[in-house]
Amino acid sequence: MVWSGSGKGYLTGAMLIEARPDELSRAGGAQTELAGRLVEISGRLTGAMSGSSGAGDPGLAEAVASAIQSWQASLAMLSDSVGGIGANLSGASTAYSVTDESAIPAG
Amino acid sequence: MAGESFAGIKVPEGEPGAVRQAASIFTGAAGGLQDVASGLQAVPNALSDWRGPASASFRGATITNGAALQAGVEAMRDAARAAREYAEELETAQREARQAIKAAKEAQDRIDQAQTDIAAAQTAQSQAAMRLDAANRRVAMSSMTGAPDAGALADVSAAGGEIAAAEGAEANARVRLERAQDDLAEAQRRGNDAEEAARQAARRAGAAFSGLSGSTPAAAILGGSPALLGARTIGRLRAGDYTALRGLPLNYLSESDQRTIAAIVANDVREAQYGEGDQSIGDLSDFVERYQDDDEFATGFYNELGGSEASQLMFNVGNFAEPGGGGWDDPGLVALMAPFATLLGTATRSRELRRDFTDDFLGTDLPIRDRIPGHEQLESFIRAGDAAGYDGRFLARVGQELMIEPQVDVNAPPHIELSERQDFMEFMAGNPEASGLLLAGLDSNGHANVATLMLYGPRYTDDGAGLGSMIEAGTHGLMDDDRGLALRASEHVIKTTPTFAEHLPAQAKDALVVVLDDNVAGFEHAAVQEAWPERGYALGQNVDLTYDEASEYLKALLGDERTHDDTVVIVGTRVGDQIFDATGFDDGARKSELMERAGSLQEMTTLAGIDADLDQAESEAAANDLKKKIASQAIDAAGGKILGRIPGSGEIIGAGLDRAFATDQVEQALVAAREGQQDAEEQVRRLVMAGEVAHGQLPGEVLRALDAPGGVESYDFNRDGDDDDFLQVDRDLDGRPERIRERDLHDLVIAEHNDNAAVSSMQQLEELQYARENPAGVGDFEDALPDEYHLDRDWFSDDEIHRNDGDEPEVEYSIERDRADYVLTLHDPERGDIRVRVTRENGEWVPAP
Repeated sequence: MVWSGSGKGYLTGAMLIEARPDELSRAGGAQTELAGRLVEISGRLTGAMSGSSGAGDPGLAEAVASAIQSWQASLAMLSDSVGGIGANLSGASTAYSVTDESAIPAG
Repeated sequence: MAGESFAGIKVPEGEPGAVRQAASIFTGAAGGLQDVASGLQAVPNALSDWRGPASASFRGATITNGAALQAGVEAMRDAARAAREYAEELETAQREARQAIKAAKEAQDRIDQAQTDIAAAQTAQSQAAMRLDAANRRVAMSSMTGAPDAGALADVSAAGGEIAAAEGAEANARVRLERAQDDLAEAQRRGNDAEEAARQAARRAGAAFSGLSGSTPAAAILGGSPALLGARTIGRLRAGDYTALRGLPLNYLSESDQRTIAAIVANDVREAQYGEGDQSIGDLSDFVERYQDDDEFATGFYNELGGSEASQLMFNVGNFAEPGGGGWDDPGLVALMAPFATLLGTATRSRELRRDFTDDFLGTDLPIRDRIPGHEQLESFIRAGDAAGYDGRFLARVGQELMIEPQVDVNAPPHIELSERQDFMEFMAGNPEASGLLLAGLDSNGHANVATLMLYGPRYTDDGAGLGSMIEAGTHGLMDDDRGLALRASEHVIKTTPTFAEHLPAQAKDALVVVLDDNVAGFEHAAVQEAWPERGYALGQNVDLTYDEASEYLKALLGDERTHDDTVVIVGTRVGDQIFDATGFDDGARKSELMERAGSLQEMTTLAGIDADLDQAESEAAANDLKKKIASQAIDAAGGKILGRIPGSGEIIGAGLDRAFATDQVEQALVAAREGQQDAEEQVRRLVMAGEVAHGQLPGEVLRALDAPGGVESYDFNRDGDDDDFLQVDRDLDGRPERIRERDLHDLVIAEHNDNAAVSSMQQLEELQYARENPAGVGDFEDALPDEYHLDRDWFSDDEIHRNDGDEPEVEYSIERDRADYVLTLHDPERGDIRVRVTRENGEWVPAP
């Protein structure tokens, strides 16, 4: 569905809104999938902890462990962000459709 | 290999293989991040038609995330490179150190050899010198009398040569020793170099990885590494700038920085609770709410305050923040306290909360009378949080403080009505572990908490709803998560109830039924242990009760209109289930156990019901025949449950199985009469047959056949006189069904399936009960006494036993019960102890065979 029809769009004040709900839904799914891959990468980094214990030098071991933990925390945050955007895209897709369908009840 | 060392040379520790594996994980992660970054960057292109404010925000966020990831890709590759390089350098250093150790060991061997050679040469020199000396003396002696001894001269010459040779050997060994020592030193130097090389490599790699912490995607977005942002945030917070945490996820920072931040907030709360400082308590409450579920923040906050100051905070928030409001339940105050209470719950669940916190929070260094004035605030503050959010042990301690301890010392002013804590009981029910711990606990005098809670009985103003909820939560609600604690709590409830049941409010009684329902297997075990202690049946994971404890609880429940119907149904269902299950077993021992369990439970319940009825008769003018109700309802429930599983059960019921349990007869049987007992046994047998039918081991017609009027020998199902219609069953499995007479069928079932086990259990318990209630006196032993003794009945004093011989001396005796019999022991000073036994027969005590 293209709300604007022919790309002209609806004007809300000076605001142009144009959306294809099906594309938004697909993009939401893609974002969600990418968020999942970030979680999976974070999980793989746990395996690198053995490199930390195998480093030998205590200072290096601590630096490696700390870096991995920072990365895992960071990837978790990023995954939340990307996943959240994915959920919002899917939500927006639904909201656009429902709003359009219910804006003017069919006579 | 870690730990290898020699002569001060150490092989650097570490596993290059593990480091290389980590490097390849980093490489793989970099590739994965690259893919995700590319994927993220592609998403906006797929939404090129999307226009509007949200689309702009979306593109902004996606670009930010993509760029952060892209930066992270390079950082991850750098990490992989650093790890690989370190692995190489570590491996080289380890190889060189091992080579140095090998060289050092060889040098050491040569040193040892050279030192041995030197010692040998020196010995040889010494020995040659002695020989030279001896030869010289001989030369001198011979020269005094003539020409020197030629032999001595030769020896002098030889010894001189040996000395010279030994000196040469020593010199040679010393040269070798020096070279070997040089080689050892060289090896040690190489070893030290290798160690140093490994140290330097570790330092470089460490710097690379420290940089990696600051190159995460989050760091790219948030503007720095956790350490950098932590230091910056802490600095700003200390200056009172609470915007420092805006947009910064707390968990991004190190745990220690999170706790430091929480401690700073706690410090500000210290001032704000008195209306001082830069922050208001309201603002801080809002701030705390953001982190109320965060373990590190909660621990940091309450560890900074400690229990005493947390307690002060609890009082001051109410006293200073909402003066003149609607009391401690004022919604505004509750909302203000809620974040602090929730945060406290989070802290109590953390293992890091300081150990002295709870004692200090409750102020246990003060006597209870001094703590009671603060209990209203304590309850209000704790209830501002979520019951399930508190650690169970902590909340149980609070419950003990609020509900139990004030009741322990009745002289402690002001006396607290337990009804004022009804709402707290409801609240605690939201935390089954806390409820279970409280119910299973003891007060400071060692009395069961349950007794304190039940003692209050009729004065509860909520009809016992709070107490009932807490009992149900701490027993039933805990069965799945902590069965051990649930059983301990249940045991306390079961053992305490009989003393207080009469005055318990109705809704508390409902919980007692639930306790029975959950623990009926434990009651059954108590009954079968009494009837068959020699069997040693396993208790399993059930409540551990004595017969009297179980029986008294049943008596209490059966004697109360509120609970007796449900009690009968629970027990009846259990009995029926056990009999039904028993009929499905081929294993004779297991079948017997189930039958004995069922019979014992049925009998214990019936006997308890009879006792309950007797008590009730005193208070109820219209004596309801409870025994009848128990018998009929228990057996109907059991029979109905079995029949419900049988196809065509309605027909069977119509044929009179429900009537089979003639309640009057059962009543008689269970009270005293042997004839009635036999009828009760008959009902068990019929239950067995119903089970057989349900399991498909007998045709359904069996039940009709048994109920046929006058059908003693055989039964003609369609009453046409045709032999073909007689019941036929292939019991011997020879492929040819045999015509079965009712008597055959009856005997067959009884013989094969040993339902006598249940009947025996009933008889055992009934006899034990009789023996208990009708103890044998010395007069009952008159016929059992040995011929050498006689009973001297004296109507005005105690009966005596005398020996028949001499002047008929009196003999001391004692009587004790042995299960269903009684044993009299004669303590004859000349003949020792002599025992005689009486047993019950036809309602009288007679000498045992």
